[in-house]
Amino acid sequence: MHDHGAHGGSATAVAETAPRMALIGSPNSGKTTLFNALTGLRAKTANYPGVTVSRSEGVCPVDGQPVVLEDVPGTYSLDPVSPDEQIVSDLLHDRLQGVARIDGLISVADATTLHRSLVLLAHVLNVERPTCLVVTFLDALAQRQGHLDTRKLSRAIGIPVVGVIATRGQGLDAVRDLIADPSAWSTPVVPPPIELGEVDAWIESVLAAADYRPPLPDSRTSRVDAVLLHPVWGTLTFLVVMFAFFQSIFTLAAPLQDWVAQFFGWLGGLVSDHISNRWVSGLIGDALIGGVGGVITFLPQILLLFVLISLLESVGYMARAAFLMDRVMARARLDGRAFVALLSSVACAIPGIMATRTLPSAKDRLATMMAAPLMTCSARLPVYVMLIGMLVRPGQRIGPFPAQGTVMFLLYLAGAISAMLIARVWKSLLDRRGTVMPFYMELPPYRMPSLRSVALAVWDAASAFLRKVTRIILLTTLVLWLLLNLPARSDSALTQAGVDAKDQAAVSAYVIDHSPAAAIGRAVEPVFRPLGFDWRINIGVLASLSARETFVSTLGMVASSENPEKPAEALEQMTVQRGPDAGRKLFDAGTIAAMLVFFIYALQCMSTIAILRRESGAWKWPAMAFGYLFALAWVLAWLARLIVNTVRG
Amino acid sequence: MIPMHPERGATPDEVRWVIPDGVFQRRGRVVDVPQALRQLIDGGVIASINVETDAVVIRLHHTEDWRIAGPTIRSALAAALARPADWHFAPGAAIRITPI
Repeated sequence: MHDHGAHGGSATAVAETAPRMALIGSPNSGKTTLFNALTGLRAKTANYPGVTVSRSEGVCPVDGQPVVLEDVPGTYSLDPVSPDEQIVSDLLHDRLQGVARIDGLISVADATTLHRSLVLLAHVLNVERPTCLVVTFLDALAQRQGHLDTRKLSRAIGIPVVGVIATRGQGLDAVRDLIADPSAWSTPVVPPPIELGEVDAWIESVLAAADYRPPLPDSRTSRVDAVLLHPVWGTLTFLVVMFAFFQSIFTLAAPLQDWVAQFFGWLGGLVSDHISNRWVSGLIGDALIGGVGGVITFLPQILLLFVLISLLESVGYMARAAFLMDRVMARARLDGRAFVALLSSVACAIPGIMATRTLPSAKDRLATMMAAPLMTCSARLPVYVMLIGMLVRPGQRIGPFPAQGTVMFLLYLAGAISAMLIARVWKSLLDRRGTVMPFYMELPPYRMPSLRSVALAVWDAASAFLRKVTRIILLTTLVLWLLLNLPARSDSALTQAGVDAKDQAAVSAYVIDHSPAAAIGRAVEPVFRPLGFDWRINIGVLASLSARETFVSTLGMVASSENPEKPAEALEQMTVQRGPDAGRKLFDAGTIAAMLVFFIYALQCMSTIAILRRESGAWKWPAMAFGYLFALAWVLAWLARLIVNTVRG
Repeated sequence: MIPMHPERGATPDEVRWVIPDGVFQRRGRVVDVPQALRQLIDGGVIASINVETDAVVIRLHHTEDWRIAGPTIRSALAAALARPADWHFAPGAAIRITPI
């Protein structure tokens, strides 16, 4: 559910003659906040040609004229060690085919970590392209008794320098004035040194000339970090935070979900009451409302997931989580960067797999990519919520905790632990020497989350989810609906088959039972029968290969055809229709457990397979990932069913 | 290494290499410098060197360009600044008096 095309595309509509500026800075330098403030969030997100490193372009109007701004990936250096940094280096040196030449560079530096930012600036100035410096977080510097004279800094470096507080809009006019004409920018009389000793001497001298006083350590951050980065308390806090979150999925989002479900139930009732044509009624009622609407009912959970992720990121907690997990990752012979990639996969495996480009080692990248689909992405959320709802009653508790949220937490935990174990296995297979690259990561001070950035992240997630629902899920659902309802049968044919043509439920049951989808589902029954799946679940599983949520829409369609107003009840009352288990409740505890475990492991996402192909450069890796994850899913689902059935007698 | 950075001087051929106060006890025109820097004078790259309170002002020969010669001069200056005792000033150069 990654957003590859957000916010329109104003940059592409701008004349090619418009000046182009690139914002360059280290991660957490405030670069993207500045970019958003200057472009007014009218950015276009895409990839650089031939690679999957993301690229954001936007337009900043200056005196009525457009200036194209490009927000390049954050980097610490122009000596690339990862694909991300390679792109920045290539962009600055005009080595990227299909990307227009950059007219000016806006170097962004965090005032609270200025020494490190100037190392990157020294490299940038040696590219010999018009460059200006924008210093961010001046408010944080002042709050912690630091000081900087930007006028003196400009004189010492020899380029224009502007101080901004982007979140409050301070200094943005000065930046706009500046970027109108990069050819007028002053340049250093001698480019700064880039050799280690000389660059340190240059930075020390420049900062002294600018009356720079570094900020005092952030005592609040230090006190909080003493707990959150502690091996024991930090890990406990991490687990408690995650546990509380999964409880909130049910306690906070469930009522909202009920309202959405009631709305679609009401719509479904209207359709069955007012549309007499069986085909039109089925298409709208079963496919659109029962199927696609069934997936949309999980929007509150998706929103809540992204609110939490965005809050944790903006506060600065995610970086701590990565730091904490570096120790754990080291056991898998991977570094903390791999955990960042895995953590990104909690939202969606696609950005997670793309985040592996920050890993310097190709073998580490592959090991992490192969494990990333195991992290529980938001697409699994609707499936889990639906299945847990059938497995555990809302009032049930495990000890003092509500059982539904606890099961959800355990599923996420199982995904995360499996991902780490699998990453270790792949790392062992790919890199027998087990070399671990040095890893450093900045821990930003804790900051109050910006409501705007949280809202933006949630909006992006919601719109990406709805786009997915209205595209791939809608398409798959429509195809499946056709497969479930073809061939069309006349009243006489139904009567001949012994079905009362006026009994809508009987007709639906007969049509679906004799559909091509049922034939496909039955054809694969030998594969899935040991897991307790019948042809209806099989069709859902096969459909979910396009996107996991389609499992919900498929079962929604089948259930809606039986009871359009209360599909959930219809689902729970389904029984196995034939074979030795005929009459058994279809969704019994063992089968639900098998389905949950199957969804933890199986790689059911075409987009993930496509991105694995692009990132790894060969089909063999996604093919292997699909194969081993399917085998793992099947075996563990079978075991789960066996254990549950044995325990329940 | 002595912290330093270049700033534009009064004329295009001049650059002020800003250094911490107190590296030299004297100010004024320099007549001899450690070898690394002297080679550039002898080679016709550097025309003159003057020491100010917080900077070494170097003037290039008119055929030279700071963007080309600058990095070499910086390295030579860095080496020479490590040996302030080997810098010799023209007669009459001001002696710095450090207040007690």
